Amino acid sequence: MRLPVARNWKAQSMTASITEDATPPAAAALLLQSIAWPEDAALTPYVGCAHVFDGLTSTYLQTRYLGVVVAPGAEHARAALGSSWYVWGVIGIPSAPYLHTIVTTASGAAAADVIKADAATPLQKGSGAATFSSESGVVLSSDEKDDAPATSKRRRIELQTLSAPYVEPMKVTECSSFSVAVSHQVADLELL
Amino acid sequence: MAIVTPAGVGIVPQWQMLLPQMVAQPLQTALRNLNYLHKYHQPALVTACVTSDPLLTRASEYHVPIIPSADGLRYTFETRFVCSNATQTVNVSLDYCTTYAGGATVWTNLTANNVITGGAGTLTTRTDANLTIPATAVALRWTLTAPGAGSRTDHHLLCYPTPSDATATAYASGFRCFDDGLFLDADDAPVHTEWLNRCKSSASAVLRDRKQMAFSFVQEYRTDPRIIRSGATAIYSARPIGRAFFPNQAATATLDVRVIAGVSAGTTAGLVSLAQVGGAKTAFAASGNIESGTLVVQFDGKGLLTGADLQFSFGNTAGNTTRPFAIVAFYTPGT
Repeated sequence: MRLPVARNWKAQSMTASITEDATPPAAAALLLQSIAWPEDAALTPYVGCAHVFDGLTSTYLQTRYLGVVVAPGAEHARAALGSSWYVWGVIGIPSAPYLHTIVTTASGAAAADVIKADAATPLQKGSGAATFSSESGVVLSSDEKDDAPATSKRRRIELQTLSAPYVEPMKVTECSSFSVAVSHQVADLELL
Repeated sequence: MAIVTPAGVGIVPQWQMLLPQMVAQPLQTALRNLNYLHKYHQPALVTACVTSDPLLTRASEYHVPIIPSADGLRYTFETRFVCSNATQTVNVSLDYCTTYAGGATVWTNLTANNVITGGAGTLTTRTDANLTIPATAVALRWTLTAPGAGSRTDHHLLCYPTPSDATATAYASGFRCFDDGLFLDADDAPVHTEWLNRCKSSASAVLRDRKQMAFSFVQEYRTDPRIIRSGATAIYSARPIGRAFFPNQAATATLDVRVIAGVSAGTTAGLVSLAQVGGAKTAFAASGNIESGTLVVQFDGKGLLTGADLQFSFGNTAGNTTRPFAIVAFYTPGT
């Protein structure tokens, strides 16, 4: 069994030759570093882009379709969702709990497969309708693992666990920003 | 002699890593992974949930600054939109430019196709594969025409590298592929230090060459876009926060930021900015051209959920209108 390695590129010299790196002089250690570089480059998840958009100010904008490129070895993901509110509005105050929904291909298409995610609550008393304004907050979707839910609930986003990247289609509702992070990778790389 | 590109990343089994020998394996698997990495390292160069008015009955276009690969790679595009009526024809075209000049830009077409949409109110996904973007390109344009009947709402533009198999070429990025012949010739060539170094130098070259979009706000390019700032008084305010994830990274990163914004009249300096919430901020002019800068972000969290909350702001000068068309940021591993 081999676990995915957490590789911090910032801590590396990206240009020095591998024999100049501060590694033990043993040939075996050098060889292991040579194996690790391309493997880690392939398996480190890609950046989760912060998409900011108007997904609130019209009924017709409240459902957003997108595709996310997923790096090899991913298993589950979590999403960060932004909500924003019209500070001086007095109507349309959301009732708790206010939820986003996330639909992905890998997580399933049935109604019970729809993933719920909490919305950021208005930061200020008296906040009103959701809009594309500055008063906003970001929430992280649930870390609960349940790949076969009986009903729509807060849970992790399922991903395909592959040895090459792929595009995961997604749909998210009523948010002003959205990003996806691979939160869990395959437990044993040898099973990829 | 063979340059083999595996279809999946090759994982050296644990037993080969215990007291490994300087022989063909496991180094050959590692070197073949370089060929894999060249073809299959596919972070999104552009991923933008575009902002526009919904239910459009006219054409629309979006301008997105880019920092493409130095190797002039092929990229695949996925575009997503919804039409209110079934089986409409929408022409989807993609262009790039090497010099950006707003509405006067001279664009080079990558592809243009009539797309027959799906059912009424359902998603249409158009994939245009393997289009070459030259290293000198500075922006992309996505254009959609009006459907013959009903309306259209634009959703997402995705662009990611899909290069062909690596060849025995000195790539501008610094990448060098691996040929099995180096190992498996008749004389059983000995392991050379260069091969060990190549595992790092080529992997690092691919990582650094393929920028990853970390922040995106892109809206329709027109005189009266959906999100503007105008009025008799100068106002400057922040927009919603978005969280970018930088898996397993620590401390800081320097993002390359590109901005396209315009004004109706008046001064343009400092009207648009991108900031980390509670951190650094970089301001840009709403000049109508591509403005460039950097933003140093400090990471919160740890592990795969390491991230940074980013927020753009823009403002107008008194009596004038400011139009933000694209605020995007790119991450380069190791920066």
